[in-house]
Amino acid sequence: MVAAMTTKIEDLMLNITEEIHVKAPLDVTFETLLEQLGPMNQVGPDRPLPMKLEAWPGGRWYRDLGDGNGHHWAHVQAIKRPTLIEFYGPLIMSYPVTSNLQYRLSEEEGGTLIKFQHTAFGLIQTDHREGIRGGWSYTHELMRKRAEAKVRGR
Amino acid sequence: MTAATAAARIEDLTVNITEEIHVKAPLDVTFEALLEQIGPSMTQSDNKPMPMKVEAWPGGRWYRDLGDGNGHLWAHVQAIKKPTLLEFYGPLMMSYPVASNVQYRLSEEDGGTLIKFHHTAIGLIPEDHKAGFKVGWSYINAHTKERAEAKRSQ
Repeated sequence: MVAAMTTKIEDLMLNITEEIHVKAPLDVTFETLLEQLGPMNQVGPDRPLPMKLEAWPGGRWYRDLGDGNGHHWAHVQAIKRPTLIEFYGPLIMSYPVTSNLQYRLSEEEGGTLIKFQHTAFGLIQTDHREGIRGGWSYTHELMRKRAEAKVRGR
Repeated sequence: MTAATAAARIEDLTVNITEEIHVKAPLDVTFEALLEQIGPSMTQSDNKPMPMKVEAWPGGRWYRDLGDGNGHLWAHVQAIKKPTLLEFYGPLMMSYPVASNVQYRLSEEDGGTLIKFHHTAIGLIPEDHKAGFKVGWSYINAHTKERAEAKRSQ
């Protein structure tokens, strides 16, 4: 919020990294990631927030409220199945900001390693800064469980 | 402007414009007039037509169509909830590194509709652009009001 103007350049930035170890193959993990960020997205227990993800370069990642209404979070900046998906956009932030999100997947012993990074620049509200990290962790944990359940179900 | 002349204070990197427009027309008429005014009926300050296209859905483009695949992209729709919210993010007409958020929030008030307009931006914004924005938005918003009230009287 502009009223809560920051005074240091560091306050304009956000940098979150996370490594997620998934006991599932690369292709299953990537597929599950797209599902989790898309139709299976949720923000808490019993709090679904289904999103649409157009999984191609420039595709939209958005909340479809029907009848042409909704919230656009980001565009796909890069996609290389099944090793990379990257986004840029404002995400949930209704103020001047730009984000870059990266999921880089690679094989590791026993499954898949996802290296996640969210960097942002702008007038980032303090409550958003604090909440975003927990939000991503929650999403990633759901995604990991879902991918591993798929393998167990085979 | 070059990076060498970049502002030393964060405040100098930002734009923050708010305006309240009281429109003597119903909410849905005002929203429709807004989409027309910033779209096909857009004019420059000398009243010269400068029609824009607004794809009124999440992630839709707000752009100047010069034909044959040429044009200027101003922004994407960040959020839309007809007839109460229209929000954009993008560079607008600024050909330098900048992020803008533009919000129109509409609500019913006695005798018509209140539009709360907010434009925030961060980037290497020249002073002449900062000064011009306020005038430019006021001009557009005044035309929106006129258009909506004229529709009402039809």
